Amino acid sequence: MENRLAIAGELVETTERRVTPAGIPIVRFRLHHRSRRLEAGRERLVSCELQVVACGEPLASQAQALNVGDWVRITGFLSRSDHRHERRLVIHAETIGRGERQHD
Amino acid sequence: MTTTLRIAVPTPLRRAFDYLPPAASPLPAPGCRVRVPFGRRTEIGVVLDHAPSALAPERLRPVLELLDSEPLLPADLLALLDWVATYYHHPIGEVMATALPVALRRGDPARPQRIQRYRLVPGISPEQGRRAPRQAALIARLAAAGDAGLAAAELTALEGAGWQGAMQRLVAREWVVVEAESVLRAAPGGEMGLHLTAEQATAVAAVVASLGRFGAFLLEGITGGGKTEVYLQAVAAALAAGQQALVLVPEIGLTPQLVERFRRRFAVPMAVLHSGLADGERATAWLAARAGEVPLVLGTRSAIFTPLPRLGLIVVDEEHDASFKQQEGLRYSARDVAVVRAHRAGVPILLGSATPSLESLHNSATGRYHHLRLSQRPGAARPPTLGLIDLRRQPLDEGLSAPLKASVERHLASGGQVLLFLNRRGFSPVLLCHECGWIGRCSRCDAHFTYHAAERRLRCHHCGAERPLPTHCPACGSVDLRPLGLGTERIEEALARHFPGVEAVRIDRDATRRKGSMERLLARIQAGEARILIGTQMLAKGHHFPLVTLVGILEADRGLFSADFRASERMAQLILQVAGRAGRAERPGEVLIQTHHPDHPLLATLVTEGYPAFAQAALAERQAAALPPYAHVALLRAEATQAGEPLGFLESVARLLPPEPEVQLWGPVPAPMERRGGRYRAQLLLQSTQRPQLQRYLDRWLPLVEGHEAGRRVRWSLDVDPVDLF
Repeated sequence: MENRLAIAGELVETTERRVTPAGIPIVRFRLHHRSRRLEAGRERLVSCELQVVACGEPLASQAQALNVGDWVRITGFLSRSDHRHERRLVIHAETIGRGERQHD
Repeated sequence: MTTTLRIAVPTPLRRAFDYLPPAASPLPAPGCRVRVPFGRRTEIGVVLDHAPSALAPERLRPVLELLDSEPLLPADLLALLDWVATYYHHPIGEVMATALPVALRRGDPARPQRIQRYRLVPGISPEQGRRAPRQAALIARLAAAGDAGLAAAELTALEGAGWQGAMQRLVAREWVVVEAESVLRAAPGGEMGLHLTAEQATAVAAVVASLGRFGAFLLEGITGGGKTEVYLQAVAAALAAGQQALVLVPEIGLTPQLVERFRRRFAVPMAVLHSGLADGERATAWLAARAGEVPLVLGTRSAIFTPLPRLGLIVVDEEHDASFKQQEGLRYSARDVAVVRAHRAGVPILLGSATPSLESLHNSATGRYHHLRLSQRPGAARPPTLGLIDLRRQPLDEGLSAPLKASVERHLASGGQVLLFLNRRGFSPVLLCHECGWIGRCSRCDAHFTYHAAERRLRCHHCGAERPLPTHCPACGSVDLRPLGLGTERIEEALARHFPGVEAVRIDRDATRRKGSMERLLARIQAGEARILIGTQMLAKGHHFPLVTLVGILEADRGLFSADFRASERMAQLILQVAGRAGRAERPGEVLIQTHHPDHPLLATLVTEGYPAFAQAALAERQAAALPPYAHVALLRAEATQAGEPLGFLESVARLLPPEPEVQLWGPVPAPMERRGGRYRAQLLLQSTQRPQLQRYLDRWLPLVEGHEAGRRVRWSLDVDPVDLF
């Protein structure tokens, strides 16, 4: 089943790193996305904040090297944030790229 | 009719067996061991008595071999074991087997091990063996050893193997004498008794006045109140009267200090009986006690079955301890058997505890036991103060509340040691997948796996199953696995973060698995190098930590709402045992208990008014609910690999006798942890306010249970006076 997402945005909170009992690093951060899209024949503003999770290496190290204000491009897939909230979603990163600030 | 021997053979069948006496030898007396044919095997049995048999002699088999020329089990012990078999409704053959040391059970000769000790005959010098270098070397060794001579083991250590040939020649030439001596040497002894407080003196005098006749004494003494000194002086009086004393303790490994005090006090041979002994050592000690050569026997549970021809006093230390009850096979309570033994032998018994069992307190209240109290600590030591920390609306940082953390800091700053108690080992009792909710569960038990960080494994604390720590969730593949809940390892890690640079040691079964590790950790504590101790109930017993000024009990609530009616009693006993570790020297101790239920009546009573008031309240609850000690219970447990079988079996045996008003049957119900080690478990509770009525019911009922055909598909056992209802 298809589950693929590419999104860019600005890092708005410092990254938070944990290590699982088995020693696998997990880095979480929040991304603020702002862009203009075409919808129903008109250009409109899109703005949203998303939680991104980077598990394992090298993704966790790449994520941790990011600073607040950095522009980031993520590809990955969506999954629920935790077992208690079926509808709360997070992006699991598969690639992390540094982007240029894009103009609205 | 022919005279036959009634013999106890170790088998699950609840009866003795008739055999013909061996041809051409005298009738073995009761208490002698014999080898008998049993089915297609041979077994070691014990002669119970001689009786004319109703069976025709040609239908009986003869005894194969007589193992003892005189009774191994003296008459008084034989009678006690018969009582045990009757009261606990356990097969007499298995009772005998439980009472005998392993070596004697399997038929070894009843001869104590001896040490061969070699001494040089005066006037012999190495010169005389110059043409035989090996002999000359031995002569030189023995000459150096002087009058003490050398034991066989010492010679092997000095000379290596193979010295025996040369030694034999020296013995043959009468240059060396060899003597066999008992392995049980007299302890150093010599330490003087301490000056007694008025309360201690009263207690000692009461017990000593009862020497030579039965009397049961409950010694309720606060921790640090000097119970051991009362034991020592009562034992001294018995020994001075030429009697033997038996001292029962819960676990030898946890009470090295107590054993040491007895050794320092009494310069007599002392047998220390515990499960760590080699078979030969245990049999030797048992036989020496039987021969009356050992005046003092100190041991764990099964030491109650030691033959003691001159028994004069029994002491049971920590009489409330659950380890006195055997939880498998013959489910006897060594404390209760000890009281019966003292009664039959006509000697006093002294039951000591800081937190007596409700049963014993009830026996004191009804006048069966004399209640002796030690309410003051001798010397300058003051008892610790107890306080509760209300955990409601209080954030916990890895199990520690802010007030507890502040207290830890304060005590560390003023140079004290801190003991934190959490009765759960491992890192966390649960490993959870954050994404899908998967929890590591044992496939054989209704239980979660405990996560052990140091070994990176998941372990089941109920059946021992284990597996490596998964890197990914076995259900969804996520890596986000999280430990949930607190174990001692996790507290240890958190403490290192909270108090960097302060050495903490953890004492639990995992940290002390390797031989000598316990001693090493204890030494770091005693030396004051480690400032924080974190541990399970292993810390609660026996050890003295004079530098500890703060005890933190991280979780007190599990005992408050358990389905087992004894849980609150155990919780109170454990809290006070742990609390008793604090402030044993001149510094006053502080005990802080974290709880979500500071208003719980039992907990509040314990903290504000102490154990006696708690025990009163708990006894009132028991009386209102008609629970022990106000009722007598027996539990029939059944288990099987097939679900449903145990319950079905118990349901059908529950109807074997017509209902009786005096005996109530409750259940059957599945055990709270229904599946354990791959077996489904259920239980049926029998209860009566009258002990004899319950016993009579069991007498009539068990043969029917035994004959019931559904019993073949389950494993069942009866537990009289169970300590764990579940």
